[in-house]
Amino acid sequence: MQVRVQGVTRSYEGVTALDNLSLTIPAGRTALLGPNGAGKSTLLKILLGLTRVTSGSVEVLGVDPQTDPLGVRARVGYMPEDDAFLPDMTAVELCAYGAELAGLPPNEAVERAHAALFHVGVDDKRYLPVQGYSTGLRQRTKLAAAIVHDPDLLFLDEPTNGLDPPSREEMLSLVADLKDRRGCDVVLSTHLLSDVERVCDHVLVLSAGRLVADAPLKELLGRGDGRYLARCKGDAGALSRALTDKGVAVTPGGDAAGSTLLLALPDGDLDVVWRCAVDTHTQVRHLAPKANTLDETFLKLLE
Amino acid sequence: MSEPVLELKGVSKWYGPVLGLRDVTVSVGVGVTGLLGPNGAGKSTLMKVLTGEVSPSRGEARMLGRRVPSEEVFRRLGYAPEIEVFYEELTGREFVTALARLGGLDPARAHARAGEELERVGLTAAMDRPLSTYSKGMRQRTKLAQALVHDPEVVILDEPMTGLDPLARAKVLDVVTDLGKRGRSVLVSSHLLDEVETMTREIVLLYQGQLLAQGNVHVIRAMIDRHPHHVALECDRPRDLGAALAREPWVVTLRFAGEHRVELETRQPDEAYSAIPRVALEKGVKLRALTSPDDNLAAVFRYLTAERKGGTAP
Amino acid sequence: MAEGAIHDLKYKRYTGGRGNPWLRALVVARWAMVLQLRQRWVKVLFGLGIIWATVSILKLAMLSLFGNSGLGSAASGLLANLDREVGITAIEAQQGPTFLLVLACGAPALAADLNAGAFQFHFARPIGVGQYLLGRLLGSAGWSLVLSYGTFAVLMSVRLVLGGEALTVLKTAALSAGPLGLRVLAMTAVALGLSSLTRRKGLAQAMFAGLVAGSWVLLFGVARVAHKPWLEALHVTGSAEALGDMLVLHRRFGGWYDAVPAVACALWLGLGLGVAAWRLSRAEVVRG
Repeated sequence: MQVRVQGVTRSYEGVTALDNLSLTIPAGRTALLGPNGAGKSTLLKILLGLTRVTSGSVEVLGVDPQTDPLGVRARVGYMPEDDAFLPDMTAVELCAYGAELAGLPPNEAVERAHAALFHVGVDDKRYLPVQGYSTGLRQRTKLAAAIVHDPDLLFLDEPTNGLDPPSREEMLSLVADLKDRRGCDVVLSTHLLSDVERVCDHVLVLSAGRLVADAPLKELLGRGDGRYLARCKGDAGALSRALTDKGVAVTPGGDAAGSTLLLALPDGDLDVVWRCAVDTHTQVRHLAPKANTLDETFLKLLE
Repeated sequence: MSEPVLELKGVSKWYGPVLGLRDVTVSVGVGVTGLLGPNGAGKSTLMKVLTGEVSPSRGEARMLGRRVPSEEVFRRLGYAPEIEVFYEELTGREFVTALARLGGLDPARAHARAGEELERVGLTAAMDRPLSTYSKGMRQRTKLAQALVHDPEVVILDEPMTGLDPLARAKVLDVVTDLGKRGRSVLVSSHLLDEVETMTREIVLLYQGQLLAQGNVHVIRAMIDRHPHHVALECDRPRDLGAALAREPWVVTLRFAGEHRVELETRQPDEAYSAIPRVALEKGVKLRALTSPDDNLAAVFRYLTAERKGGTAP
Repeated sequence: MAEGAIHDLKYKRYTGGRGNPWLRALVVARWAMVLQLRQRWVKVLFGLGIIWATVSILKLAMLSLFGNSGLGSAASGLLANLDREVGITAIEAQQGPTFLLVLACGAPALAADLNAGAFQFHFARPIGVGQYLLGRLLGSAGWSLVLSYGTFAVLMSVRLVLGGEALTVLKTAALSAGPLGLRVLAMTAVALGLSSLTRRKGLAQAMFAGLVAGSWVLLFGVARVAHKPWLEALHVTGSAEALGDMLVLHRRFGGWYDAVPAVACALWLGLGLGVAAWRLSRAEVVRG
């Protein structure tokens, strides 16, 4: 149990950001989800001891951030969404400085700065000022700075925002690795649900300051329900008509070019699809069960 | 394509020694066009050249037949940049109203239009709160409302989906496709093909400041086919299916993974995807899934990057 | 015998202590001073300060020597007070360079932090607004303090070696050391307060220069014209200087006005730091 929140209400200027919220964050990799304004940021602020609760109690790693915010922040890391650097600093300096601010002695800080940058793969650029870095490199540097003081628990705020697919993939592997390689538990706050599916094993969903879901990822995704997603090369119209003739329920898959189809095949026998594909000379580029994506689950939860 | 609405002719742009665009010639018509490319491909630079925010080092940019920057064209353009320029103490409505006034609307009309557009992007409840309290997703949508408030003919949106939750993403998607249906010209950038594919099939693809491809999404798909594809097949008898497929000339490598899975690599995707179902049916093998990690744009960038580095693709 | 060894490169957790949080103010200050040295202007100004100091030191050395040799009878009035005058010289020796240094280091400090997201960087870590602000104050004033106290130490030594009366010189040193530091700190606090109001470095610097120079012209002008010398003691740096005059030279304004220098100095210090602390406490660490 890394975090325990008990009956927390937080309101300011007449707005209730958290409404009698109780939750626990287990060890491991947990996703904190919710639409804008659900109270995620407020919760993070409270957990970091940056703001007070109106009522209720909080414990992070067994410490109350209300009474000992510095004690909590010495043992947790936070990777903000926006750039959080210092002007004119190189990556090594930034990380060493971050470690020293967490109370590590200067020599230890420099060593750990190099180790953290090595971990995230910032190599030859580490002696250059951070301002000149690409988005991907900045994001990695931020991660290194967040883990440099050896936290037991790391809060990540949208770590893949603005990254292109390859950089995003690498960032996610790094985050997924933290637990195994460093023994650091992770709380991921994000809008990109595919990131959550990739990294997390537990999911918490907030909406309007309340907890609306608290479950292992697997449970939320559930099993396939006989729906299959097919993507064809080019227009899928011919295949769609052929399948409809054979009594298969077909709906468009949602892309503007009309090359994806959603098929209802409750018995799981795809031969009818393969037969129609061969007959209509349509290439099927992808055909697999469409599991409930977290996107859908999420939208359903918030309805 | 009808009369081009946005046009670049031989445009290059350097920022000191840094290259933004290299000899890009492209034209965009009515409807929604997706501007795709990985980070640093020059998407933002291309948009800034079109809006006249930066002038090209070489070549020329035109909008609605006029050379930019042009005061007249500027009023018919809505632009949501990637960077944030906000007056934090204003409310969302005040901010959008102020920009509508700058766009030439009278005060009453500007106020009404600001309300309408903010409502359309789902900020009804928040529009009278100061911008300083807005989250990233809310700021994104405020930028969108601001770009549309004077009902422009041409709309340029730089990464409008970044930082949005699924609810907000659906809203923005609606707004963009609706603009296309109403005959506006929309250029919208993203680094995710899936995201763009939900909005349009017209795509402009940049890579390292150059125009890599333009046209229908199928053109992009064809480019994907120029690179090797790995295909994974889930079935009840992978050995039998594998043995039959191994005789096909388009198979480069083939391996078994687990009890129910066979994976193969091909350099002729068209032949492969046409033949696989036929072979499975002939052999009476129950094929339960067909997937490929290479049938997407990310794979193309991966191959391009690997080629550039002189390595082999993963 | 084994022919080699495979070392375990596994990640090692940190098990050492974390020190007192207030020591982290020194970390902030030290790094700030290191980074300032990378700016060419700071080096140039520091060099300028050394030249400035050399001039003061030479002047003092000459006066001392002339005084000793009895040739400077014309300046005998001044010489009589030289052991005390050296304290005022020390306080005022670096007026120009320290102003420029604070303008270069202090005035843009918080604006630059705001711009780069440094508040998020700091306050997600075990450091509070108090420690951070103290660190910024010491860091921004750092090179000015080094320059001021360096000059001060040399001036006092020169006077001691060249015939000053040891007891008087040491007493002067003890009395002028406080105002010397306060002068720099009050100026820096005001710079930080203004700096926290904007994210534009240039604007912060312009505001600071405008406030210090503008109020100087105004207050000193009115003080002369209206014959109300205590007005000078309202100024950001004038207050600490007047405090020095009062302690070292026993210069008085009379009555309640004698409290003006100390009150004004405390006010500037408090106002600058108060504004900065208020702005910092509102800095958003977690956005969204």
